[in-house]
Amino acid sequence: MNSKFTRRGFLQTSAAAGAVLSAPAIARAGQNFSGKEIRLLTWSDNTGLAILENIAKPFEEKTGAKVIADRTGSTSEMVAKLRASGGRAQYDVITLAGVGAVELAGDGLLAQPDLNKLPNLTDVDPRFRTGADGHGIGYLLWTGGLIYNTKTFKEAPKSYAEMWDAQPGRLFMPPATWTDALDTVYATGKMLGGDGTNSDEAFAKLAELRRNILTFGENPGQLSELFRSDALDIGGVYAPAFFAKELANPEQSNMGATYDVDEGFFADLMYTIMPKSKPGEDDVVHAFINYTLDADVQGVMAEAVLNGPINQKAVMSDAAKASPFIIKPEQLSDKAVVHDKNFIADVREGWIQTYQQTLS
Amino acid sequence: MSNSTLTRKQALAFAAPAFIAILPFFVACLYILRFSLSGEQGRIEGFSIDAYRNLMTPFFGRSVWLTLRLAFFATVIALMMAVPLAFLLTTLKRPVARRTLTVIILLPMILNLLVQAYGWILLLGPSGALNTVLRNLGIIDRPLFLLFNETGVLLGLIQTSLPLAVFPIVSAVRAISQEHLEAASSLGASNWRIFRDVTLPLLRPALLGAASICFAFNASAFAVPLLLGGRRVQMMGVAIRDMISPLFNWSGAAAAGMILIVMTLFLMIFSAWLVRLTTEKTKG
Repeated sequence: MNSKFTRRGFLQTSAAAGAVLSAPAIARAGQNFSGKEIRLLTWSDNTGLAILENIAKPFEEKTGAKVIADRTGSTSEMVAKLRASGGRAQYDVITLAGVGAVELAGDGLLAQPDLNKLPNLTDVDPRFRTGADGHGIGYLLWTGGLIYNTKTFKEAPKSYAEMWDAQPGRLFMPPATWTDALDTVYATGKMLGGDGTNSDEAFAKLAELRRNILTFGENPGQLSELFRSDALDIGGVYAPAFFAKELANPEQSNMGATYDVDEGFFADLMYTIMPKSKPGEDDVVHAFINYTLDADVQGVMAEAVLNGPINQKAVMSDAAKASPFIIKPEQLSDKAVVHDKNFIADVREGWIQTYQQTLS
Repeated sequence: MSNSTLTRKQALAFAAPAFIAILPFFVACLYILRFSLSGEQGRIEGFSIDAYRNLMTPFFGRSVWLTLRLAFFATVIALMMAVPLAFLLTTLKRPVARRTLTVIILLPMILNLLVQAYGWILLLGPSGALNTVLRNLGIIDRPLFLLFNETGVLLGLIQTSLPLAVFPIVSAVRAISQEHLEAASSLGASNWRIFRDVTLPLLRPALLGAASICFAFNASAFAVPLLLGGRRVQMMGVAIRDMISPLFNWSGAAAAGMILIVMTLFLMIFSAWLVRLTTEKTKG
């Protein structure tokens, strides 16, 4: 066999080998899903809007797939919606709070994503990769603390007990259907010296707040307006995530937020899930979930809605890295209350009902 | 029978589209009744009165009482405002003035409820016109709360139900014979006495009719308590909504809905009986 080793031949062979070796990476970064659709269910608030702008839109541009989004209310409403659809889910991907994923997995409504199709998972903090018995893929960290009026409080409040000192009509609480309401029950229990699961005691204490409440913060935009007009003093447990712009400008918004409270702050890993009977194709759905974990996407989302990134290589600005409102996984000290999601899933309906009946 | 009058068969034929339009409502009511008696919370299966039994809680009792109380006060206040408006409308001679006032009274029915609610927020909200004026005058340091509580909801209910009160009374005012009033006046009765002893008894059937419509409308209100109550004023409409989502308690919501329907129907039947009674007395 006559084989000649030339410089041109070497370059051609090298280029071909390089192309073969890098093919999976290229396919991952810019797979072509033109003509394919993905149905996304997400929150109706600004966090849902941020998903559309920072995840869905660039994903469409990169892959050619079309993302059809339904922005519904809270995690509880998403759970209700998927349950109502029974075995005929209308959605391919849902982003929701951890407790919702656990409940839906318990109902047998979720499919287990194929981790081999999610290469970005390797960069995710191992604690936050999967959950809900493998049915949920970690998304971002949702954190909740106290929101306060910077005109009323010269220094950030140090305990949830400050809510009981609020004047009548100057307090807001999270709405019953939000996981923040469950956190509030938990925080009250801890404030009373329990471990947070002492709900009877906590509800009795929460009942004292009924007369002081101005509103339930179902509309974060309205809350920010109420703070700006100096109508509200304090409220929680609530996520600073809703007030990225306001917290950057407390002189105008009168808004401050703190995680530094005696009873701790709340950290909840949010998940991306896919229903068992989803209408879309597996590949495009996995590509979308993988894209939510991209280092750039995680950094952009952290800055946009103050959620904690779980990708350890998340690309963030210096300001975002220094922000006290964006909790990174390494900052989850013993002050962070991370719920036992199975416990919360078990008590959720009862707590929602009692919370509503106690405070309305 | 004259040619201009429809026979019963013709009238029935012409009314058929209206019956067809109303039919889904009756079917829905029957469906709600059946759901309220379901043995399961999320679907119709078996028979049980558990959904009704589970409503026997202090919370639901408070919700019923609040609904009745707010609907009652809103109805009474709307009627008190409607009577002078009805007299004003019937005394206006110029068609332009009459039409303008009619449109003003009808505005709450023409405008979207959301727009009206935001109107109240702009007026009475923490950074609304009233609070701004009071703050600029130095009367208050921090905003007053006239919304996100029962006062806000009451204001909204009065405003939205006012047109329903005005127009039945306008018809009755127009039907009052001038001869009765002149006779009373010629016998030396004061204006107040004429109003109390002649006008009001003649208006009573219309007042009761308007009251029952307003009450039914207010008792089943949903958007107003939701938008102006700050989620704190749990009238039955809001409570029913909360049972459906997020608690997914369809049978409980259906039972609460049936209770609301029965309450409203009972009141309307009672009101119809009162109307008949007062009409007979007035005639007598």
